[in-house]
Amino acid sequence: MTARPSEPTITGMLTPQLDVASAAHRARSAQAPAGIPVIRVRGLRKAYGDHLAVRDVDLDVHRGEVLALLGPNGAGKTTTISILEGFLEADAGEVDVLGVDPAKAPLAWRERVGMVLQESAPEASLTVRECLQLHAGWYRAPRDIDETLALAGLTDRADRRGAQLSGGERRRLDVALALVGDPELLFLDEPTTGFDPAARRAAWDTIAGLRDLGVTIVLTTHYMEEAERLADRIVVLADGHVRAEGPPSTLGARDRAAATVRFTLPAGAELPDELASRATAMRGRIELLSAAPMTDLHALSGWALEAGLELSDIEVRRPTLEDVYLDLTRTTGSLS
Amino acid sequence: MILHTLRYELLALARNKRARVFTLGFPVLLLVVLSGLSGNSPTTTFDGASVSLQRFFLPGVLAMSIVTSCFAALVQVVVTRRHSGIYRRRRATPVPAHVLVAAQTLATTILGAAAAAILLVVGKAFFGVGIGAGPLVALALTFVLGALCCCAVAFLVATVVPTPETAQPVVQFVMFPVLFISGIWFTRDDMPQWLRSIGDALPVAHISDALHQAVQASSFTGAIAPGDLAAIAAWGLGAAWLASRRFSWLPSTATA
Repeated sequence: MTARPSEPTITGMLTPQLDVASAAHRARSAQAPAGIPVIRVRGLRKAYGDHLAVRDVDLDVHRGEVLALLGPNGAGKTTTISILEGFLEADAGEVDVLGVDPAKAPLAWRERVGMVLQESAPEASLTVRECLQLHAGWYRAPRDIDETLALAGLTDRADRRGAQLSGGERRRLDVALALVGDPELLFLDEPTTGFDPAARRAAWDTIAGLRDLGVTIVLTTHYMEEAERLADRIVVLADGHVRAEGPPSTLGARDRAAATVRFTLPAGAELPDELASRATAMRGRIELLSAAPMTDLHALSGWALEAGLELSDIEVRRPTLEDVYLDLTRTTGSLS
Repeated sequence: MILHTLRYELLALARNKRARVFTLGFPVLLLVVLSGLSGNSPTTTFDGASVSLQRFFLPGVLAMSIVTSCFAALVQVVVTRRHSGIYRRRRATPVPAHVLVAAQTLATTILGAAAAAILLVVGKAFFGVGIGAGPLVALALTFVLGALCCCAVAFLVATVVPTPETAQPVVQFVMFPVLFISGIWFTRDDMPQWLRSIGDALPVAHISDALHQAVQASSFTGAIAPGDLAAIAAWGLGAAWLASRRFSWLPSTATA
């Protein structure tokens, strides 16, 4: 799939419609008692035969929040989401989504919940518009079809049949189908898989727009940038339980983790002892793990200026979300 | 909501080339070949009475078209939709399960009825097999009941077929032997008793027999076969009941 010039502008065109649509959501959000989570999970457990897929998972998702579930394949993300969606029954634990146990939820509960499932084929013989019309007819108060098409970036694909859609377009149809019921809670299981970079940006804008409308979103993804851009909070699952939890900026004590200072030491120069003892050489470059980068940089620059050295390639790097994530999930050995 | 869903099911079916060829085209071709080959009025027997081959083949092919469209094709569609996540996505909406089942069953039956109408017109126009108004009503009733029964059996069989790849062989393995012993191509009059007994235990022979009776009769009452219709209804209800207990909308490997 190639980037189309229309894609980056989609959300720009949308802004007025989003404002109109948001009225209903604001009203609905206002009714909800504050402080009661939209999703509340305690001690969730699910096994397939001998394999414990999810164990002792606690989870709270608050109204209007975007929560990203991260974890290696097989960590229990999809199992957890399937239970929250009501497709799977938990073996043990309490699950409460919008006030009910999803496994026993009445059909009316599904009026309020939108789902982008991990694998689903389009209806091959129906056009994108017809497929949306079919689904819209099952809701009491569906979102307008044209508005939904625009939200998902499918306006110029409306008359294309399911069988003719590219991978990214099929995924966007999934997103459109999840939005056509005008949900207040949205589950997105790897929503941008198969998207090219431009389409992914457009999808992020769409999701961010939905959050601005007050839609609560639970999302799984393998793209760290996606989680960082969209999520208010990240939960890292590994081996079926919660390994870490927090906002992207502080996950896994990322904000307090050591920074790395890198530079090339000019030939013949020698670091002062107090820095040299903590430095390691990597392919000709010095790497200094620093818990207090300001103090260390001050010492380093004082020494360099005095010695008349210009460390022109010096860089200071904070651990990225991916660094933290890989650290958190490394010990599991289930990176399959 | 059923009508809304039915509209899109019919639209999808009408656009499906495979459905058009196999459900609408193939039975007509078969009728033309069988009836054409049997020219010069040779006869066979149905229930002991002599009948022209052309009049024998029309209800036979009608019965076969019910089985191919409402059983074979439906099993394939149901298993494919389940496997590809289409059902799962539909069940993520507030649509009740019975709406999906009813709409799909009705759409399949309507397509089957369209095939039947073409067969009746071709039979009359090219092979002179006319049917009176009374028997025609009985024929329609029998056809619809048979179609609904086959749809129920299709949903039931779909519960034991895991993937679209296995649907084809399972369907063929079930369908062809049953068609052979059910009086579609050969009269059951000449079959050994044990084969007739197997046929009697299954629904297709009753569908075929009831359709034969309707085509050969001259009045509505004469065209109705109460015993056969009761057997078809019993099979349909039994299959529907079992399917409703065992049917799953999710692929067998739904989660991992």
